[in-house]
Amino acid sequence: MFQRRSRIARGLLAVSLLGSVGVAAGLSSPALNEASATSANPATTTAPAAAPLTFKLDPVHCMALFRIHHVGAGRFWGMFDDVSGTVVYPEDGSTAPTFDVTVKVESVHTGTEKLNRTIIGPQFFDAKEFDSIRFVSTGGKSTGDKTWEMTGDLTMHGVTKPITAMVECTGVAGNPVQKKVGFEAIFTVKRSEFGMNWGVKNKALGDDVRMVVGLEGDWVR
Amino acid sequence: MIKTVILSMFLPILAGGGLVALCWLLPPLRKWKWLSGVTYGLGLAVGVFASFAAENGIPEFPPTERRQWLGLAAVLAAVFAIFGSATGQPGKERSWPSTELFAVLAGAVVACLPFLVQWGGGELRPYFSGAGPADQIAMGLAVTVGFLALDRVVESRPGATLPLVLFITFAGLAPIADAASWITLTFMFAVAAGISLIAAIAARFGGAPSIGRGGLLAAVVILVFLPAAGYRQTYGEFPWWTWGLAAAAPLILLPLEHPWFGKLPAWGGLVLRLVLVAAIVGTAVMVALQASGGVDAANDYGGFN
Repeated sequence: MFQRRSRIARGLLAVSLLGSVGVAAGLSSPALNEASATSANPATTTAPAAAPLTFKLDPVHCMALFRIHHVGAGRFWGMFDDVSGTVVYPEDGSTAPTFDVTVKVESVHTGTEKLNRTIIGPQFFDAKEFDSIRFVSTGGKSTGDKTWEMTGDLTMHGVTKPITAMVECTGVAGNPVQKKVGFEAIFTVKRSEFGMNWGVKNKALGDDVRMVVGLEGDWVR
Repeated sequence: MIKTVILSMFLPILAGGGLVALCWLLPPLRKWKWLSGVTYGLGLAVGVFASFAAENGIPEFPPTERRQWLGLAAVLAAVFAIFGSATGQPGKERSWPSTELFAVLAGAVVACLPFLVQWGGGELRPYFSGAGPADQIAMGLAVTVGFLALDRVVESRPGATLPLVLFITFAGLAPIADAASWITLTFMFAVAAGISLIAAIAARFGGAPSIGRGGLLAAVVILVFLPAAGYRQTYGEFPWWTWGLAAAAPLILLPLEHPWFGKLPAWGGLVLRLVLVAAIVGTAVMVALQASGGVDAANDYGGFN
């Protein structure tokens, strides 16, 4: 008698489990998803812009490239490896990001030791006196989908000047607990305006320096 | 590239060397002993200043950047050349202790100039990055001691000896500055070497004039300031003492004033002096170049830029 009742109970349990699996499968069907998305749409359009998040720049995936004209002939590239700082940016790109980026001058990298020493030496950056380059944004105007014309103050070689940079958000990745954001900034500066005049007059080196800065930051919760 | 070399090296050599050659070779100017004594120092200062200015513009005072001290050192050398000559001409009876007092005063000015800048309302900053009051005192002492040590040589060795020794010294410091990757400093040493060589040639054919106390003091100021800047401001990967060894090489002339060396024939004494100075400077240059990756590495990026 007892064994028979037990068998009936197990059968009921199995049926109820099967039923619950079927409900779960039904919830994940495309039709339901579409419906839930439709019903969620009005809420998205009326929702307030996402709150800005603070990202700490990841030095491994950040670099600042520079390009300069040499003796009126070739254009050569160099790179600064040590880039640090913070970016404040809302995930949805509803407002322009703000940047505070510092580049260590001694991290310059041209592929030639002697040229590295020349660039950080007193002829150009004079890194023993001015050890870093800093950019602090002061505003940004949207120019398209997650692209901005950023203005800010660039301090280099002890001189601070306002500059404008074209900035693009190259992506936001991660999940609710871990996020990364990427940016690319392109701008040109006249090095003579920052007191680095060597070779400008006699055209040994160009005055315009094109900068391409790649940034990646980790969300700081 | 050629424009850079012309503006920063050849024209300054022409300006400074031309001044020396004119004053030492033209008979009407040679008559003026005071002018003859001040000429080398002024020519050196003019050339070194022109080389600095061609690359970096006219230096400000007080300087807004430390490298401007290089140009200002040339101005100081010119002032010292004029006042140094006023302490008396070699060969004439020395009015003791004017030379000694002047040496101490010149050293004190070098040691205290940053404080004078502050006193004048400027910001108190040491001459070069990482330097402090100890560096300033050391530089002042080097000026005083260097001047007093070589003053005796100036007295006894008019003619081409000292210009040739200074040519070797400056010519040796140029590749050391290049190994430290400071183009301006390389050009400035090259210019000083060029002017000294012209002075040596002019002295050979101009009746063996002396560089004078003014010329000596100007050279000492250049030999103290420029290597100190090279040591403090650059990222040269060679021992710091190579700067000092090369710059101090002319001091070997002092023990060679011993009467024993007076027994040597004139040409033998000259050759001995030049060989010894060249050996000291050469050692410093070789150590600097080897430590920087060898002689070939000195030009491994294809020129001066």
